[in-house]
Amino acid sequence: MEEQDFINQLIAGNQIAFGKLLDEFQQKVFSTCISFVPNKEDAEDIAQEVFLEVFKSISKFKGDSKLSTWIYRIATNKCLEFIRKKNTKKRFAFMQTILGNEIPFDKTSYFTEFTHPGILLENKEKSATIFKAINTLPETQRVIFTLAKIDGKSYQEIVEITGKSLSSVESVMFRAKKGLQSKLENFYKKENS
Amino acid sequence: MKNKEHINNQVDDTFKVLDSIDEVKVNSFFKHKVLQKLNTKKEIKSTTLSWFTPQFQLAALSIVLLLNIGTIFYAFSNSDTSSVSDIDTFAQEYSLQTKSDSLIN
Repeated sequence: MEEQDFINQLIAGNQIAFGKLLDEFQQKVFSTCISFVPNKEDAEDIAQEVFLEVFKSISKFKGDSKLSTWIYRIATNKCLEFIRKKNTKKRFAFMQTILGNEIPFDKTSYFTEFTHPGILLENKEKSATIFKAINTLPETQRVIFTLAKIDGKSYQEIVEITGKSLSSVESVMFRAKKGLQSKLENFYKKENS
Repeated sequence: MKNKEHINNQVDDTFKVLDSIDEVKVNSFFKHKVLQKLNTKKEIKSTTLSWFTPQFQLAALSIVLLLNIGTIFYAFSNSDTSSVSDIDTFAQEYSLQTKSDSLIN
């Protein structure tokens, strides 16, 4: 009931309610964003977009899930959208190089030369390797693995965010771990040979 | 065998990195920035399109459509007679008429 009152205030455009929502969720949403997009500036831009989307669509929120779950769902979708755009840009740039119309673009591999401020310097290389491997996983595996292992969400929270069953989340998680293990083994085999 | 063990250790160490990621604090101006963006969006919306309500949009569209239909109808209904009379006037002006209704000729 209390949450419904709060949602009604948000729908009515109450500035104090918006402020309260930001106070409560800004860190959580930002943490989710930086788990998917390991760059502080980009993660912050995405988090801002998440809140703008929340304010824009709050009237469409039906209340069939918790407000926090709905916000995390928006955050996850925004991050995936951002990653997809980054990958498309990379493909487009690659095509441009093939066709000889080279245009200036960010040549750094986004998921290897990242600037995640939460990673210790001595772990930077290993983090780059694992983030790159995570980025090659199928989307569902990537989402669930990132939410669980990097963002630190519980399986129950992941069930609510993704709308999958607990057994399905567990099985996807198992496959993601297995996939990452084999990718990393291949990587280190090549590196050591 | 030793190599495989070494690789497994490397893989385990890489996985362990994920447990040691520190929380990154959000920018202290984040809230301010979002609220500012939100207000800017509201202002733009209210100054540019607030008066142009869906009723107005429908009315404007209907007027444009009526004007178009009217113009097409007018153009097609008068096209035959007006073009003939235009040619007659032009021919008379420059004395190009071969047939004449005059009794003298």
